[in-house]
Amino acid sequence: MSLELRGLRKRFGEVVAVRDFSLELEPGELMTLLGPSGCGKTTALRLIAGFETPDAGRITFRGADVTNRSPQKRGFGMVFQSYALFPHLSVFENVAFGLKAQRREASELGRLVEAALVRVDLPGYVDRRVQELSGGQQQRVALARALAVEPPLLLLDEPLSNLDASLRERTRTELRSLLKGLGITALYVTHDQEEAFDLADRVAVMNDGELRQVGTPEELYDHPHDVFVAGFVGRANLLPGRLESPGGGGELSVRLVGDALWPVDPEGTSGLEPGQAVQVVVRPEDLELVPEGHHASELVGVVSGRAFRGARIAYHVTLADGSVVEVEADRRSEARGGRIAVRPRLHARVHVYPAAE
Amino acid sequence: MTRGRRTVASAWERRHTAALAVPVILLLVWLVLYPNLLVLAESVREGGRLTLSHYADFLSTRAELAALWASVWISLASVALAGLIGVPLAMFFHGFDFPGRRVFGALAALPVLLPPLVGVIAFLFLVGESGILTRGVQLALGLERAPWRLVGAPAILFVHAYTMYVYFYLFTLAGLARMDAGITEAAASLGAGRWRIMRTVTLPLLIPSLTAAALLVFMTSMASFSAPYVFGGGFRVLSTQIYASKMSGALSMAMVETVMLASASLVALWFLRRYEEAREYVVVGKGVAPARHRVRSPGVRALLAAAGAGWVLLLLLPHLTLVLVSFVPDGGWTTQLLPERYSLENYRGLLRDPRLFAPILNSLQMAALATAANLVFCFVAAYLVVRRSFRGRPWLAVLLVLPWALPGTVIAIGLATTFSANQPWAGRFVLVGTFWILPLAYFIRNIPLVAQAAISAFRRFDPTLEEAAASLGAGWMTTMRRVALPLVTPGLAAGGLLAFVTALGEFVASILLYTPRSRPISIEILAQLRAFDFGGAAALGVVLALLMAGVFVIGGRFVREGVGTPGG
Repeated sequence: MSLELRGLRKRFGEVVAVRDFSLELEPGELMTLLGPSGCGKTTALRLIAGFETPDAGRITFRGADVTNRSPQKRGFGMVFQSYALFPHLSVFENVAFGLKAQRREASELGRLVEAALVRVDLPGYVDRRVQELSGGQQQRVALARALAVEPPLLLLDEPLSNLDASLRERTRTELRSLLKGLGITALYVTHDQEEAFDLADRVAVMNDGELRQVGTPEELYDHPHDVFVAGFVGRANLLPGRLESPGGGGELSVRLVGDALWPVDPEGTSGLEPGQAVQVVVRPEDLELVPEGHHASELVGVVSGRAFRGARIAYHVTLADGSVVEVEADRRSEARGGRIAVRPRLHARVHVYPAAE
Repeated sequence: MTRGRRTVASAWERRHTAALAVPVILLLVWLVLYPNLLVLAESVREGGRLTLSHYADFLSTRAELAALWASVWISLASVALAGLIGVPLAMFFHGFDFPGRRVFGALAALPVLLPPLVGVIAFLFLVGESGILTRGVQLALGLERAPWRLVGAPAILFVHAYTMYVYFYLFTLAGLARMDAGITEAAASLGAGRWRIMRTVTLPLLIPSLTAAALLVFMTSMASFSAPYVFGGGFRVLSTQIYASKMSGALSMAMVETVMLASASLVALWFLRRYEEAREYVVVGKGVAPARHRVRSPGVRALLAAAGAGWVLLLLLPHLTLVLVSFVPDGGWTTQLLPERYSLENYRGLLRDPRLFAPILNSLQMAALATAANLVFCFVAAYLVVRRSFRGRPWLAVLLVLPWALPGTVIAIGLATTFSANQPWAGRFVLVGTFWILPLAYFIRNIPLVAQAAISAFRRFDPTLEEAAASLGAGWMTTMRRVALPLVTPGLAAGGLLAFVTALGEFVASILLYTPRSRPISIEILAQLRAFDFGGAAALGVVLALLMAGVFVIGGRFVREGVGTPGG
């Protein structure tokens, strides 16, 4: 185990920013911490870096308790959202800052700084002033500066959020290959689900100060632990329903508006009983539109809108009770107005979660 | 999320904060609070017993009550007169656009930069008994004697109004600059005439600025020493009364008077703090282009320019006189309107006579020492105030402004009381009569100025930079030396320059504490006046003003070029 967090808790006045936070990072793992803004993910990162001290809990790194260690003694590298480049120093001096703090030989500095800049594809920028650099270049200098000291753990706080969209996408691909190439353990905070999935080996989803689920992008997408994760990771339809056990065995189905009965994904139904009110979550691409055929699995409604998504088209179907279901279909499909039925595709994952009280 | 100042500090951070804060607060308590408490204690003690008899003496002595009353009414009248000059002046320069507006507008703020004593002797040369203006009137009317004498309350008020209008001028300008041009335009569009807008919109919106300026003038006037000392004659205000009591050995009475003066200033400070928000609102003012009345007619433009220039010249006349007098050799000016002979004799005298030159070196040396200490101390104090949270923080902030609120006379009496005895266990050492007492006084008086500059410099740069340094493995000392210090240097240096310049011309505390062997420029100017060597006094005054200007020019360039703008 590289980094291990146990039961971290941090309160700011009345607000509990992080609660009961436990997480483990494998050596060489690249993990993203994903959540909406204000969910406490930056606080969690600052607790790990040592800029904040937890009210409760323990932080262990490579077996040693570092909870009360000062940031400079932890030696974790950090890339800040604002880059935090020293405005009074040149690119060279910025990158050499950590090396000097480590009391490296002056003769080594030039070589190490140049190597760090080559790594982020900025060779020959040593004498520039940081204010002369573009946002993307500043971001690279910040990364080079953090990596130059070869930290055992790298923390990144939304480092790409100040770049424009196309540069952001290109940079994150480069960033992943750079970090994986170095084999460094890294924790990356972001609110952007696409970025989280692109970068990470595993993603930790946070909301309201709590860790909701940790897993590979596929695990999160296919088997979300709760309604929040399902809704935050990708698109999802949320429908009310009630569980039934039509076969009488362990297999569960869910009864929806207008009496439609859908089979439920058996995973994640433990603890749920027939007759229980549930929240049904199903992704738009797991649904299909068919002509009304009075089949038991059909939800009947009218097409009330469509959105073009490139290869796919999303149809919005308004049901009898006024709720709207999104169905994603092949763009060649053609759905006209009028009554139509929605049903799960074959092998669709219909998730159910206990309904909120 | 909560950045910059953290809510719960870790154990290592708490230890570190304590290691910094305890010495800083102890030093402030020792040098700022303790001397004043000693004065308070002395004022209620007689032969080891607690007594209020000194206060009873104070209240039953006509001269004492008269001095207290004089301080109060002079201050109130100074507020009124300074307002009458400063507010219209600001409105004139704000409201109209004409050639030379910027230059004259800046010159109008000049008197605040000159040390009060230099301003006072400048007045002496202009409207004193043998001043240029006085002689002009005398000759024009063919009078046998001077038409007026510059003594007593009218003289003090005249000088106060003439110098303290700058507070009203600057605060009104800042208030007007902050005012949204849209507001007055809205009023105009509703059909309000110019005077109606002034009465119902502009003035009410200016009230916070005017109140702050009024309180500042009141405090400055209560603390004023130079003008009452030079022009007062038999007329005493509290600050000169303290000096007289101290010099005549009536120490207990001096203590009571000091407590009275300090209390009056602290009450004014308390009121000022209630207007703190208004004051910040004013001071932070950005120079947004206001709706300035553009005058088209060339004739009117010329007239406005002439009025502006004339107004400013009138305000700067005393200082021009000072320059003139400095070139007049001994005996070169007897009964004529203007001196007949001019030479560099006075300046040559300064260079040749070591007795005259020594005070310049003394002042430079003592001001440099005090400023160096201010820079180091205030850097640490400002760091604590801005970046750390701890229980004593509000107290630290109060102690850092306190010397600003206390009149120089009060601070000097406190130091004279504390450092005239040798009781190391009570934190008292004999410094009075040594070289060190004046640099110490300058250091204390300038703490608020430098601390404020350092605090705003720390507030201006992103605390993430310090975190970045820590994440790169830099310890606290390294982070301060390589990141914080370079980034606060421009702001800190600006504060240091002002402090140095203030210390260079300091008079109020100096006159109570100086030793003959290390007398500063201000005391030498006074000695020259006493010896009726007006030319020598004026030359010293000009040298002082030039030194200050030189420091500003050289220092200003350093501040601007030293480091680029801090923070992103």
